[in-house]
Amino acid sequence: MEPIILMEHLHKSYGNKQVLKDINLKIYPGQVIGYIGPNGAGKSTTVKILCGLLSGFEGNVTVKGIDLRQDPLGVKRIVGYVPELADLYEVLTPVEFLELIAGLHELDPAIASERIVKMLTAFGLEQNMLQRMDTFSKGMRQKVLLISGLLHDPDILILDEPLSGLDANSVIIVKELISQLAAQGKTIFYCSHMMDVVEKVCDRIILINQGTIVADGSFEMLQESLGKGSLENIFAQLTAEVSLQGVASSLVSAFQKNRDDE
Amino acid sequence: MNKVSLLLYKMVLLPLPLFEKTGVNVSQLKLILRYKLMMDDRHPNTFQQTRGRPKKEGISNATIGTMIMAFVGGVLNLIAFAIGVDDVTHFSIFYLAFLFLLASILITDFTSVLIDVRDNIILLPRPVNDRTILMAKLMHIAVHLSRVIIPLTVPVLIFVLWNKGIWAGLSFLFLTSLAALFAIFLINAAYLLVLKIMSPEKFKSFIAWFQIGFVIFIYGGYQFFLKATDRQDFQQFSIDEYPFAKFFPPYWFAAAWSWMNGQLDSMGIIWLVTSIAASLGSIWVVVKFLAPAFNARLIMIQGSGSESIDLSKMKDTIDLKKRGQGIDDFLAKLVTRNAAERAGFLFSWRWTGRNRGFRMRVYPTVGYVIVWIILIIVRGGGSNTDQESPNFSNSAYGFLVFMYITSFIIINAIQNIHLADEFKSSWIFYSNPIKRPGIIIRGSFKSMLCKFYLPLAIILVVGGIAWKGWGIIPNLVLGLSNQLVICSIILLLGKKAFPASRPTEMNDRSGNFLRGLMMLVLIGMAAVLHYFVYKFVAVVLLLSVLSMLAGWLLMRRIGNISWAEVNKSASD
Repeated sequence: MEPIILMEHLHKSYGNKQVLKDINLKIYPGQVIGYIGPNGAGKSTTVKILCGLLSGFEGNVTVKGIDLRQDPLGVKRIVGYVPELADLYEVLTPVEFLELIAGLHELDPAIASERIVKMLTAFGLEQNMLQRMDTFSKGMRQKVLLISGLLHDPDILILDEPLSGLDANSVIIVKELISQLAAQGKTIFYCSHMMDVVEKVCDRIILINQGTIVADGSFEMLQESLGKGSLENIFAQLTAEVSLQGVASSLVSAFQKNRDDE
Repeated sequence: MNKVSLLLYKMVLLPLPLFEKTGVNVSQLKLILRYKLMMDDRHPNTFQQTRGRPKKEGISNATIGTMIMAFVGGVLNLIAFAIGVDDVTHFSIFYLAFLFLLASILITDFTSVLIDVRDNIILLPRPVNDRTILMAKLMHIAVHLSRVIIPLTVPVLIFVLWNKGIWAGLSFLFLTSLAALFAIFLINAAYLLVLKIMSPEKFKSFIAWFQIGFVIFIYGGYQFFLKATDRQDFQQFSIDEYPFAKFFPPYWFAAAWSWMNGQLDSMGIIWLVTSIAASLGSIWVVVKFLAPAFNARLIMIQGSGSESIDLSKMKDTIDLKKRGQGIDDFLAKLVTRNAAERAGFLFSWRWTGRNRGFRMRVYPTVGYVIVWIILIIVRGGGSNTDQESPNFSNSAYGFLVFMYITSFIIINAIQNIHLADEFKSSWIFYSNPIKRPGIIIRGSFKSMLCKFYLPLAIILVVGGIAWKGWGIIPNLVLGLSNQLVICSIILLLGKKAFPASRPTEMNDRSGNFLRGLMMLVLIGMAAVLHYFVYKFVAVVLLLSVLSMLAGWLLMRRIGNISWAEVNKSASD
């Protein structure tokens, strides 16, 4: 089978600092990739390159046969991106906002309009469809963002911390959504720090640290090679340079001196 | 979208078919522009407002105020028709003022729109090309600028129609539209060019300095043109006597009008061609050469690029050992009385030094003041040999003008300190136990004074004493104290808000520069009053005492600004 995402010798630097060092990846349709790594490992940079937001990289990136460098718009058409910490135009209502997104994807307005209402209703936002989003809770905004990434029926869905702010029921919905989309042959690129979710949702886990892939395989495969335990433990084993308990102790001890003074 | 915006929207879209051939996706452009204008009418909710109570949409008072100011400017522009002997001269002077005002507003109020990075993450992941996004931004600027362009043009248009007939009016309208396009695209082209040739990191720190230089260039050119053609027989001269004038864009548009109205020989068509080529050419350069890779650059500016930069190598990284020893800490200790005021002081000091939006709005005013100072010095030097005009350098007038106009910078700083794109971060002021917001606001005000007033005050004191001798001291005290009083009054009459706590609204943008100029008129009045008492030392001393007392009372008043006042300002 042809990979839907192909990265070959991907390098990216900001000034003298190398952020991505020779990333090589083949991702196949229908895979749910858990892309994890500590803060500053290069996750966001990879995602931004993949979405066509960042240029100036070395190496090749091909998405569904389209060379990202040659035709970034072509890639944007088939990728749905749900960014972390994204702003919305919150003076708009969700319907207005999604109509704008649909317009930018040049969807037929009639089809878009029907789809928007269906999706908002499915997420339980039918009562809020015509309210300005500046009154929305974090979870409601996140739902609108998720819809904005799905609206044009993309082949590849890139999710950056998609569960942030969602209530427990919505989390179940999104997890179910991911597995149903994957069953339809969509590829999901899932970035998160929530190891328990990644462990359950993803069928392939890629761990990146300091710009290099340090582990790649299913959770079971990682357990086999790195010892039994949760993904959290495997993550810490591969990426933590200091004792994590020690860090917590020094945080607490920061109060100590002041207390002694008092 | 309100009716004014809708009309302007339709107007700026008129030349759209031209763009289509250059690779702009017209339907996407229309969509983005329509949504942007719709959003401009809706005021974002801030902390002080009740949730879910959006304000009425429509034309705001600020917009009407700006339009009235521009209309007054348009009436003043009629003076152009009293200068010189022929129409080329009249129109040259008019287009000089017109282009200069547009350029100034573009630089101080709108360049931050061009490199606004806020909606990167919303628009850029979509399949929209660079040209479409850049063009949408420029058309967005054009719509807002039209609120100034139209009232500025109407008085002259009526005058031309009345005196010279329909064709004269129509040709004037055509050329003025071209001139407006020329200004918008040329000014933005300069920024795009800098963005293209510089690395994004350098661009971020360079841009404010570029703005100052650009203002000096544009304003210097304006003043040069005026000075070079300044004559006693101002009604009898023709611009054609000055060959250099032909290199200035205002002349091109003026000569094109003259040719279209049969006042030049057949060779005059060259000026019409030049005008059209300059306007459409600047659009073409922007779309064809400067637009590609614009978005990629924007993403880099946003900081997603810089977050991975090795922080230890950055110049402004704070050295832990030197913390608390900087000039900011030193001044804060000197002028603030308690921890909350100190916090306000330090926050404003640091934020204004690092925030690109603030720097882009305020630093250009430094450029104007530099040109004014140079002008006063040059004019002073020249007038020594010119018996007929007052001896400028030795007159009280020269020094007073010098002293009062420098407050243009601090006034702009005060008017901009509460505006920020990241206004939502101001929740920190609301969630912390602050009894009176005035304390923070006063800290912030003092910090602006230390940054934008103190250095100039020191220069004025040293320069004043060197220039005029010790006898100038009472007048220096009065002038500097008056500046403080005026600044305090402006702060108290304006919106009472925490630093960086209010959204920058597009609809209100084009008024910033004009408002700054209006404030300068107020200051000019204070300078005139001061001029009358300049020689009477006893009166000056008495007024100084009164002025300082007023300053002290106003400072106390600022410190007493209550929550109710802050909340009221926010909901106005």
